Amino acid sequence: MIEFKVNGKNYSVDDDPDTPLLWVLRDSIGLKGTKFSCGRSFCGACSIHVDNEVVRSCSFPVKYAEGKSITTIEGIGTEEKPHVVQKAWIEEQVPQCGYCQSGFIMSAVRLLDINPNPTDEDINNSITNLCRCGTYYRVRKAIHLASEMKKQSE
Amino acid sequence: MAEIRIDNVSRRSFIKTMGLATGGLMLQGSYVFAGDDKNPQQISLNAFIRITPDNKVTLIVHQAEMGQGAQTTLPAILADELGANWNAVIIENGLTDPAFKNPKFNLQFTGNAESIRTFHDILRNTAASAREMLKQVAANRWQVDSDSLRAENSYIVNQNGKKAPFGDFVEEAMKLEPPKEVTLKKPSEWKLTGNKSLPRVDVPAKVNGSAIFGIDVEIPKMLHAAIAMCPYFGGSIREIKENGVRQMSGFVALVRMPVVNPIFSNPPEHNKREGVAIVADTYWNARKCLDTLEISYDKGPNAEMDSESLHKIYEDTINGSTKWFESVKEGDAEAKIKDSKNTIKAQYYSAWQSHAPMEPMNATAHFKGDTIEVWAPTQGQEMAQIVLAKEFGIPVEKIIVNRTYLGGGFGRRLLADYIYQAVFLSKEVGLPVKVLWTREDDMQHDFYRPGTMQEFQASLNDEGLPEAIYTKLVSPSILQVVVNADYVFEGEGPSYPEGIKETPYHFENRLLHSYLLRIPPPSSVWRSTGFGTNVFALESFMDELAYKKREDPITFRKRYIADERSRGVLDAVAKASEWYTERKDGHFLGIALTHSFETFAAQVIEISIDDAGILDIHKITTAVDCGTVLDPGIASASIESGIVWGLTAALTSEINFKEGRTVESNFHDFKILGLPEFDIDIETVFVNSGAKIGGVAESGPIPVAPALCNAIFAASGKRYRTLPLKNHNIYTRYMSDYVV
Repeated sequence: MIEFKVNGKNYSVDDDPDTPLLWVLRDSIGLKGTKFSCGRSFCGACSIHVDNEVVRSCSFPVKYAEGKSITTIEGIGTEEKPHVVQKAWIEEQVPQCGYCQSGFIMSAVRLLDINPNPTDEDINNSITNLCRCGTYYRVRKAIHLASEMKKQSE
Repeated sequence: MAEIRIDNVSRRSFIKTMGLATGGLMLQGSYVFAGDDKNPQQISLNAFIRITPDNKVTLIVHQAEMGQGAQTTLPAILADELGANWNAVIIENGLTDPAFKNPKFNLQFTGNAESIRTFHDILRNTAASAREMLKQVAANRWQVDSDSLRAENSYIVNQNGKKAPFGDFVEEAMKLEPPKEVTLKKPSEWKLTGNKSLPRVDVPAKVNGSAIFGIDVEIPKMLHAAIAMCPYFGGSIREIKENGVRQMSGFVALVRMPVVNPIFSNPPEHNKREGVAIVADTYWNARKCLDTLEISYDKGPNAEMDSESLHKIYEDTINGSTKWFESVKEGDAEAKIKDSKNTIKAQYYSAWQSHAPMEPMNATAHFKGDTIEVWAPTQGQEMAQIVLAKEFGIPVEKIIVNRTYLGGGFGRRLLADYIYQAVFLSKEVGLPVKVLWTREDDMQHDFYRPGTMQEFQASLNDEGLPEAIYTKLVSPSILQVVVNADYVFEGEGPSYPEGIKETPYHFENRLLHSYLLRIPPPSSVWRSTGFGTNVFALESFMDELAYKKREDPITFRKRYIADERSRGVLDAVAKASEWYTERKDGHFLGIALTHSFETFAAQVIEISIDDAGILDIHKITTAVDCGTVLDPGIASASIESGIVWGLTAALTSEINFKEGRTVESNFHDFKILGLPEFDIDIETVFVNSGAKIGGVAESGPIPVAPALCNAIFAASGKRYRTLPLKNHNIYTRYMSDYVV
């Protein structure tokens, strides 16, 4: 059994230790907001937080999650109480097809945690996710907006 | 072994109320799958509108939501005309219905930028008809003239302000004959559409992970399949070494699939590819089992085919004694060019491209013997029905195709190849099966945007102006696999001459020769259709002609434009981009004009190239005349999206072939542009000419490549006639980090 926390709740799973955490989250735990796209950590659609670091869960064996605290898109906010990044995403109407957006949001949440006032260059260096609909332009605007909103709420 | 979870994300959980956290219009709609609402009180006024006696209004979305905003703007059109309360409507994903067919094609599908331009009038008439029926019942009951009543916020209201909910009238209304004629609201009466930006219905679920895509579907007792398909065009599986796979955890079945896509093949022998599937209890167990197999392939008849040999076929066709199809003949271009002493000739080529939507192909199916139910992210609900009916001998009315959200479509999801696989496997194992492709499966087994080659030749008069234009177009088929054809197209392939057959210009002498190339790689429609590559060639050539005349590219184009709407977008983009303001900072401009999907667009790209040869894109300005823009927020997003799509194909991405198969397999070698590129200033202006509404979703990418290449010419004097530009060592500062 491998034990870890997901969005504050304790889980123990008996998946093969080499199973990518992505499939454990999606299929064993039932959290479908984290998406599969490239399977080789190129695109970031499966991005989650493991002990506050952004991890591409398609390439992260579940055995390394032992004892760790994991956050997925379902864990950062709710519809009633969205995270400031989710609020900014709604305000800027970022998503199109939406498939990659959980990954972008998880990357942006982490960026703003360590750097509350990122420059364009900081954003370029830390948001390496891919989006085929081309929401990049609005992602950048939403990150700047989230940074502003965060400052105002403090 | 992992627990098999069944029904943990049921379809029911999809029914939910959504609220917006910040700003804008508050939206309290709900979103449900068709068939979820078993409420017997629901009364259908027509295929698009249902109302309950307790005044719940359900609007049915018959087009796929794949990012283009169909799920917002289509029901907004209905609600506007019906007089429904947008904040309380329920928005439901439609199944298939004769009323949902696109009348131009007699087929229900999503694509070709059709959703608004074809259905705007249909939806308005449908909703107006329902509104008039409700008003008629109220008029009878209140003994007033129906014309004195109005529909507002899901109530019928009389002149004195007396009002009663739609639900009070719906039971009687459904017994009425729909009116033969209805008066539609004037654009000035529209409250939800027409230059107003609504918050998208799908956004809240897409920022919190609750939106259900095809990959997220869970059906009770469902099994999972991972597949391997022969990667060689026309090849076959020689041998499968099982390596004890049947003893592995979760293994259910190993299934040979006869062919990947039995219906659509052009020519059939090239596309016939065998596959094998592992069905298991979980997806990851299926993948592990599949990876255990050792599969060897016979490469088949195309083992020598590669990008170079294919390219030579294009060149030989252009230069050889080809049996051309005469697509356009106006005046006598051939004689003029033959007799002229002053001619100009240029050849263009655009590379093969993959769709590569972020959600890999997948589908879930349950074969139940005499019925089939499918859950899939599909643009082609009815095409899927047709394919499945033909293959499994079950009538279309017994095939239910539920449509989820699509993690990108771009034309790829019109085809039913992956849906066929899910049904085939469900039939084999007797339980519902979800089949999920890997990114490698997706890229190696795409139906690609084919490479196309165009040659332009013009004769110039004494003033240096073109008097005749002769164009040759060589392209594989774009629509062969999309239409359910038992025949193979001959002569001119539909869609492939778009943008080059009918152009925004008028030339007295014009000849277009086209040739439908038959080569092994499977090709299909891709966002921008035939326009994408043809307009690159045409608009590059227009720039070459303008330069030859030493004339401003906009002034030159205006000599030949055939429509005032072209002038409108050229003037608008010139103003917004400050085209006529001299740049002193090493910035240069390029322009392109397009008329596609009944929309006119002109785009200016402003660039600089530094001493090291690095390309910087500073601003992209687009003027769009789609008649009337219904939702400028969504339409602007669509243009931004198109710019990324167009720039990616212009700069970096391409599909190559070697030894009879596709080279690229994932995003490490099929390079798509990332976020760093897009600190570009993007400005989009809408010219509301009031003409018939045109499509926007596919218009965005089309001018990008020629506008960029024209700007590069202005900056460097170098004319690039083949795409992508990375093959000419043109890089942005970010691309140089990651383009091999």
